[in-house]
Amino acid sequence: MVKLQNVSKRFRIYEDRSRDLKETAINWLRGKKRSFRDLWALKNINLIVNQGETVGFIGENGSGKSTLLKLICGIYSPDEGRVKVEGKVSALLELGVGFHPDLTGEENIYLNGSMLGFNRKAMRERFYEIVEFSELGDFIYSPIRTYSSGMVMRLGFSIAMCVDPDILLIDEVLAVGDEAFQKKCFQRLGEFKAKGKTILIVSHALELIERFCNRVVLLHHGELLTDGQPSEGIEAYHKIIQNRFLGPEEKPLLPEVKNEEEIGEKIEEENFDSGNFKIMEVYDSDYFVSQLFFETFGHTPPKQPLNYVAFWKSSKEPNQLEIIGFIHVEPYGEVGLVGGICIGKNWQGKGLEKMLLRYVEKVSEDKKALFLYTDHPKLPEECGYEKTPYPYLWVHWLKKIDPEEKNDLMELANSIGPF
Amino acid sequence: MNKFLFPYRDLIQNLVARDFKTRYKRSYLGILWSLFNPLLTIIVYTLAFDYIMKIRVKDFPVFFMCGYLPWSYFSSSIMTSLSSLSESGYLIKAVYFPREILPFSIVLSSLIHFLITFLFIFPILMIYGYFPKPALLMLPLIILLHTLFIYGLSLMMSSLHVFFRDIRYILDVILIAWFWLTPIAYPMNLIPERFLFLYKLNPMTLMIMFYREVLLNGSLLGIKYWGALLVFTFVSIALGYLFFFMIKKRLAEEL
Repeated sequence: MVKLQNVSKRFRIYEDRSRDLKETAINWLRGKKRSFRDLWALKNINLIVNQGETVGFIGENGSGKSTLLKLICGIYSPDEGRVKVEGKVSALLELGVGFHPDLTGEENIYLNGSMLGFNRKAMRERFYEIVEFSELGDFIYSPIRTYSSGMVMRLGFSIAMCVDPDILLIDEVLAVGDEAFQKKCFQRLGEFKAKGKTILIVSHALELIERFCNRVVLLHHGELLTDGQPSEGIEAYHKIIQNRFLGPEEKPLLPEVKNEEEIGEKIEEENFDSGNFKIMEVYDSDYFVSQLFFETFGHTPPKQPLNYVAFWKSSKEPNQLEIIGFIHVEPYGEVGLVGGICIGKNWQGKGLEKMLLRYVEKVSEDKKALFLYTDHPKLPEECGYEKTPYPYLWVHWLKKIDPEEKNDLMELANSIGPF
Repeated sequence: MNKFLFPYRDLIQNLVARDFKTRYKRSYLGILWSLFNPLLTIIVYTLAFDYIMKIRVKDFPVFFMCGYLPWSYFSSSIMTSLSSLSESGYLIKAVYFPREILPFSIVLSSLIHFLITFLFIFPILMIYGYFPKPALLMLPLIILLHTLFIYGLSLMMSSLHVFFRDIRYILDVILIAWFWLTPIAYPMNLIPERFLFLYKLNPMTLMIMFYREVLLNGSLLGIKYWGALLVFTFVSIALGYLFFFMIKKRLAEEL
């Protein structure tokens, strides 16, 4: 079993790296701190993989897939959160790694095996299986430096497959060898799966992932975007890729719209052309709104799905949409609604909050609604709001509520927010 | 520590074997070099100190040998293990295993080379008329403590080397100074009285005193010296792990 709890991983990107003592000493004397910026490769990942699952990890380059695998096998340690792994792990992260060029294939099998925690006896039992699987024949008694790169990869793969781990981690290395060898690898992985072993694969080969995995995790900029059926994850991934290749004038691509409604009285401001504020209710918006949200706020919304998107449609350039904010509304009992509003930075302080609130008021006509207001402390005075335990989070009551119910609602509100 | 590394004994064994097999690969005399090299050094120092400078030491070759070999075990371990972490990025980034195994296995490999030199230490001692006495039974314990002392410093230095690559050049100079400030090529009684306490703070002086006492006099140093030996060993291990734990977490990403 693999369990990740609120795991974050930070890398330090040094701007002027002082690798020697002189510079370090000088910098220290001058009171200058080492300048670096933090890159969060993974942000708040929660993931439980049970025994017997085959999970594919997909995402663009730099989305944190490999970092995730390296955290699981213990090469990296998390900066926040906990990683718990039960069972023997074999990782195929980079092929041929740990091989010493001057040692023979045979010697390297024992060396590599012992790095994976298998003793000589255990490796001896598997030796012939490994040699047979790798199809190296007598080459196994020659130094690795005389091997072709394909042979090195075959040997690496054979070792990882034959040591019989409980959890197998594979990072983008399935494209080894010729077709026949690949087929053999997959057959082997299939047997693995049938034996109830856990397999975690990172790959860009979506076809393979779809065919082979029963669960797919999509990572985007270090955050877990979707986690579920392979088809869902892959579809979402396609959308991300598609979106990236669209020109700026076509951006953003809009999700399926349930109904689009004009809410705006036109606001004429210096900074903006005349245009309309619109709000739309979106279906099954999981991945898409997450993506939009990410582009606006730089992080994914903890609360999903968001079911309304407010945007600005300029009359001059009708294709140019700018996201104003997001609304999440959730039914509360039979008659109530709770939710939250997130406003993009460019649009803060323009009184749009009031407009969005009014919109929700309209949707929730006969419902008692309570609203969480996030992001922006300047809520219009007349709305009336109360503080919550969260900083920058205020609650706004759309209807009068008796004090007893208020407590219940507050509790619920606190469990939803903040964004 | 040993219990912690115990499940990885095969890895340690393999790494030591790898170091051994690759160290003398493609050289004609192979392992014989770990015998010839110290022998030649002993001859050179004997020529310089005994014949030319006429230092007044009884049986200079054996006197020097008993100091130089433990010293060379120490200095070569430190120098070769220095880059054991910083240049194993390809391993550290791809496989998980306790990282201290890397310097540890280098120290072990040097230990084996050191033990091999006993193949000529004992014959030479006997040629000069120094025959083994019962105190020799304590030699393994001295070697063990000496090895732990070396391991601690190696761990510390290889940890530092990950962040400061010029440690190597500083260490070069320090080791030369340390060699001459340790009574290896000259006896303790040549040291002026007022500097003697400084020599006693030098752990390598103590180590070499132990080796000479056992191999040449066939006796053991008093309990006070054993206490000091234990303290030096403990401090070295503590320092080693202190530095190691500081860098351990970020090791994979710094390489």
